[in-house]
Amino acid sequence: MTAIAAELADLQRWLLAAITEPIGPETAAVEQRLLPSREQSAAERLAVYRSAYVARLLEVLREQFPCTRFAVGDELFDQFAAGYLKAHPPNSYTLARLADKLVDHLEGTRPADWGAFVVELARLEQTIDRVFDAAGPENLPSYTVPEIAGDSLTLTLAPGLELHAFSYPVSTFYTAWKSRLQPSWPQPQPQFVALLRRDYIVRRHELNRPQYELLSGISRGMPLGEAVAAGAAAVENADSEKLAAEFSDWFATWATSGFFAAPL
Amino acid sequence: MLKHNLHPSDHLGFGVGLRSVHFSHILRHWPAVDWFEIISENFIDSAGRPRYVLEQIAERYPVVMHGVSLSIGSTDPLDFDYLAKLKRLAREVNARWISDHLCWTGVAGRTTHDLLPLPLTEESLAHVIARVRTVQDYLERPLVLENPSSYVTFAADTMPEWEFLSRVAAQTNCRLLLDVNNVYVSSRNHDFDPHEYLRSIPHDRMQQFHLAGHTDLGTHCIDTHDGRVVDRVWDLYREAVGLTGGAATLLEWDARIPTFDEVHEEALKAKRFVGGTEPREVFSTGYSAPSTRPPNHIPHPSHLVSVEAE
Repeated sequence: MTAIAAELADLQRWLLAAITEPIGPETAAVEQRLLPSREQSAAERLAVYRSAYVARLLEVLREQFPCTRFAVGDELFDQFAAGYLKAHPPNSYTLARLADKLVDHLEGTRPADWGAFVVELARLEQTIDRVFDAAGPENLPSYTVPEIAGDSLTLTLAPGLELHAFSYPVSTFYTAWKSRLQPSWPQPQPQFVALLRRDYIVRRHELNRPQYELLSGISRGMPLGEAVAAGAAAVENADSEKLAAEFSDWFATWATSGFFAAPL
Repeated sequence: MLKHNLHPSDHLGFGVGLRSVHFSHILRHWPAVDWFEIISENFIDSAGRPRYVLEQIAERYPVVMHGVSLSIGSTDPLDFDYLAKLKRLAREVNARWISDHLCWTGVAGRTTHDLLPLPLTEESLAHVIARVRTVQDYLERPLVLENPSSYVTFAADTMPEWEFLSRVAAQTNCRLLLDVNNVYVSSRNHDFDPHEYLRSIPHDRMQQFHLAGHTDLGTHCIDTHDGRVVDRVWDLYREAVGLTGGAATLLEWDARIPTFDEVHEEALKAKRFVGGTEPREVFSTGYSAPSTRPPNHIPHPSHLVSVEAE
């Protein structure tokens, strides 16, 4: 950078701070660098950028986390969002990355009596956002698990499929909110969810624990036999004959839903 | 007759800014639109529906890429990863050109996601010229630079914006995207004569026009892109078409977005001014009355794609 550009850099750093810091600069400092117009003082003109900065970013976060916002209320959401933006100001060329650290920030700053509910709900919404625009399965051939699959078969989950374990039924809450049912905060209850895009729309599949363990095993690259064993281990008082029938049904359903890509 | 040195195929006609709320309508009806302009940042990382929709559209319509994050005036280093993504997408969708704004968006590794004005000085000019040349070399095509709306001016300014833009264009061979609404908004905010602006820019460098609505707060205007084009802006557009011979024209509508047909209809109003013989008509609400709404309107850009989930 030339010395001349360094002067420009100084002015840009000053203006960035003047726009983004919660407390604006002294009027004298503003008037030293910015001109008034016929209708507005220099400070009033600067205020256009100051208010736009917060308003724009808040609007993005509100749009990315509509269900979380509903859960905590508009005022509290905006307080958390403003705190987040102060702690993690944007640094990416795309607004899609604005909330990358929001879930961690919520986890670190939430009131103790919230439990993990709001954090997990935000995590669900962030996952929906990510799956929506990530590489997906749309252009790949569908794959059906063979009826007689050996234990050594290694399955591959469809691109973009994510598995999540929650300690609150956040997916149920999200569904109720989408249906405009005004749900109340739920009590803790484990919930397992597979998120997958199909035909460019994000779909949620609620799972039970054995299903989650089985699919997690597959996602970690376990051969089919080991993954099934991991799922079976999560079943209490398992009846092996009944279990085998259930597993068969699960795989058929998952294959129909596009859970699997062709094996490696 | 064109007064600039564009290839005739660059005169794309009257286009509409592609917005995600209209995706389904476009895929269902394939409306008779001359061309689409995309917000580059909404697509350069997409592997989902936005990208799928864009590919369908690019097969059927001319597409132009319009960015908001190049930050050509920033003193931070240019982001070559970002430029590489622009270049790749431009190749993949056969973008007719790539545009962005004469502005900076952040510094010291941070961004505001706003289009911030540069001090209009010889120092800034040299800085921008050097960076435009670098970007053009990298993209292997002329950059198209747009005049932004702005809300402050600097004590250090030594030249008007039209002179700054003209000198950048002359020394880099870049092309210009004249946002007529931005000329009007900035003229109100900075007390300059918009007609002098139009007369002073290099007409032979004109690649494209932008039209949009704004919010008039009485003491100043904000470039909100949330309504129809006001009559004073149509007047300036007619004048700009007369001075330049016309260029590809694009309507932006980014907030409180109505139906696609309504947006398209607004864009097509521009046709009446080509040729410069049409008498002035009142299209919208007459001269824009100052808004009584609280001053919390968000200036363009705000460019998040809505997620579709069940």
